Parts: sequence; structure tokens; C-alpha cells
Amino acid sequence: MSRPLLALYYYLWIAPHLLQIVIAAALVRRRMHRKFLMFFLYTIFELCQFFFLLYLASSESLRGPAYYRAFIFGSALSITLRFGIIYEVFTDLSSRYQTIKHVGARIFRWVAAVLLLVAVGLGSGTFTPHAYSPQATLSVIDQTVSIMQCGLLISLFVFSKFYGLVLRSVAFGIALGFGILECATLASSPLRMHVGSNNFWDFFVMGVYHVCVLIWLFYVLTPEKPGPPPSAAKLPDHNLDLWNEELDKLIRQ
Amino acid sequence: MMISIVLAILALLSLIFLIRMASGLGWAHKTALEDPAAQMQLVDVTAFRNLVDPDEEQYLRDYLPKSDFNRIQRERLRAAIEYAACASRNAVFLLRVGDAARSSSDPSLADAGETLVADALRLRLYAAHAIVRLYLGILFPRTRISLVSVAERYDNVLRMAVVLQCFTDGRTVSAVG
Repeated sequence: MSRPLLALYYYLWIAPHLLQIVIAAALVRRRMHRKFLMFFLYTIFELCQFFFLLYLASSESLRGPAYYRAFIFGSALSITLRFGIIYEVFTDLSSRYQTIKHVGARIFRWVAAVLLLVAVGLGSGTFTPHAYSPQATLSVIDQTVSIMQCGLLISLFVFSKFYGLVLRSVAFGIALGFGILECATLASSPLRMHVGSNNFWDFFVMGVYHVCVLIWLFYVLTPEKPGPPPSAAKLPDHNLDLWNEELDKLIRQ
Repeated sequence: MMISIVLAILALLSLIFLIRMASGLGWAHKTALEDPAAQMQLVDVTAFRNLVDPDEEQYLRDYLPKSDFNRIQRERLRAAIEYAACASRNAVFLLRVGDAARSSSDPSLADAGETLVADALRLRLYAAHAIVRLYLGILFPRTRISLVSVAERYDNVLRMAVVLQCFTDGRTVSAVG
């Protein structure tokens, strides 16, 4: 790797994690670390993992298998935390709109079940046993998880859009960042498996991760703006109760 | 290899979809409360009721030739869909109004906002179900989609009236924010 590329590589590896220190501090400062506990834990975990991997990478004797084992273990924990974050964003949304809590939970259970089937099916389709390697196995797992997480996040946005729900600014930023990250991982994992691991895919995923960290940072630092007060202007008659009654009649036939 | 390429393309399309949807949500959040009154469309519930009235439908069924009935019934259902869709869109604006009101320091206004949010969400859900049913009615105009029973009225009609009174009252402005 040439010197500028090496510099870029280290920048993309180190900078997002330094920014995550700011994110963690901002979450604590704004007292949001309990509300978004999973995201806070994820941020802290990513930081710990980064410093540990940096230590392993800089140590001659520990580089190699030890680094790889730590990376795998870290990835597994990271995946679990990311599922927790998606659940956390959904919980934040449904806690604000109790009317759709049960409908939403049911929809998400079904979506998760369907996505799991699709992801496992596609994973078995893309996995090539003759080309078995730990890297390939990791890519398949990465791909399976990305399909599920990407699908769940898109469902969350579709669900919000359909009902006209407003995600809290931080929850929105978290969901958007993870959505972008999962889509990028999903795009790169299967191709990496066939084309083989090379610098391009590393740069691509690291670059996207950096963008996502910037998105999280922006939303964590931006104060939640209260919506403008309802207008004093007279609202037109909308007969909400009558409409509910009429549509209820229609769907109960 | 083919599955991998398809997956990669799907992922990129998902990314575009996600960004578009997220920007749409952000934009909607910023603009929806600027002037709900201007964004809402007046929809006539009496006209809608007439369009899905079983007696009206039966009358047309009895007195019109089959082909005419099918054509007219389709047009009536299309109009009903327009009404339902319009009410559904209004529900989103009312949801935003309710959202803003429930963060008020005035408990009565906050309660009213909460009720409005719940009702608007219910309307959105009902409208979606109703629109699906109406589209099925267009596909199969001979199928009866008339009402067979009068569903119970919601017990929050009175509270809704209070909400609306609050929103159209001048004190709303000073009570919120």
C-alpha cells in the first residue's frame, strides 16, 4: 500500500473512533445515555474494541491470529448490540405512539421472521463450500445479519412514513446511520466473498462507517427542537370522529 | 456470483430508498406544522357516507342494467377512495398538531393532544384498510361492500370536540411552547 493510501487507511480507522468519544460524551452530557442505552453501549464497545485492536496490531507478538480472534469476537458482540439498537429505536417510537404499539410490534415480528428466512436462504445460496475460509464464513454471516438489519431499518422508516410518525431527532439519526451502514455492508459482503478481500472493500466500508459516525455525531449534538405551537388559525372541519366511525364500519363488514 | 451481484444491486437500491425516505421524513417534520390549516383538505363525510351507503348501492343494483351498475359502482368506489385517501392525509397533519400539543405545559391541552394523536393514528389505519377494501370493490363490483351493521361509535367523540375547541381557541398559542 502506498504511503498516501496508508495514511488514508489509518485516518479512516482512527478518526471515526475518536469522534465516537465525542458522541459518548455528548450522550452523557445530554443525559441520553440511559434513553439510548444500547447505542451508548455500542459506542463504548466500539471504542474499547478499537483501542484493543490497535494495541494488538501494534504488538509484533500478538498480531495475526490473536488479532483475528479478537476481531471475530468483537464483530459478534457488535452484531448483537446493533440488533438491540434497532429494538431501542422502535421502542422509542412506539412509546410515543401507544395506539400503534401492538400493531407495530406484530408487523416487526413478521418482518423479522421473513427477513430471517430470506437472509438464511440467500446466505446458503452465496456460500461456496469448496472456497471455505474463515473470511468467507465471516462474509456470509455479515451478509445474513446485514439483510436482517437493513430490512428492519427500512421497515421502520416505511412504518413511520405510513403513519406520519415523527422519530425523535437522535433516534432518527441513529436509525439513518445504521441503515446506511447496513446497506453498504450488504453491498460489499457478497462481492467481497467472490472477488476476494482487497483494499477497495476495506476503504469502502471504513469510509461509509466514517460518514455514519458523522451522522450520529450531528444528531447527538443538535438539540431537539420543539415543534412550533399549533396555529391559532381556525382549522377546517375535519370530522375525525365521523371519519373513524365510517371507515370502521366499512372495514368491519 | 449472480446472487452476489443481485444482492449488491438490491443493497444500493435500498440505500437510495432509505436516504430518499429519510429526507422525506425530515422534510415532512419541518414543514407539516407550518400551517396545518392550509395543508388540510376539506373532506365531506356525508358524501363519503353516501358513496358507501348499502341502500344506495342496492337501489342502483336493482334499477340499473348489470353493465351500467358495474361502471357506476366503480366510479363511486373510486370517488370513495379519493375521500378516504384525503381523510388519511389530513390525519397526518392532525397527528403533527396533536404531537405539538401534547408537549404543552398545560395538562388539559397535553391530554387533548394525546387523544388527537391516538385518533389520527386510528384513522390512518382504518383508512388504509378501507382503501384496500374499496379497491377490491372496484375489481369485483358485484361483490357487496355494503354495511351490514352499525359499528359502535368511539367513546372519545366528546373529547375530540374539546380538542378541536382547544386548537381553534386563541389560548392555544399562549399555552403551548
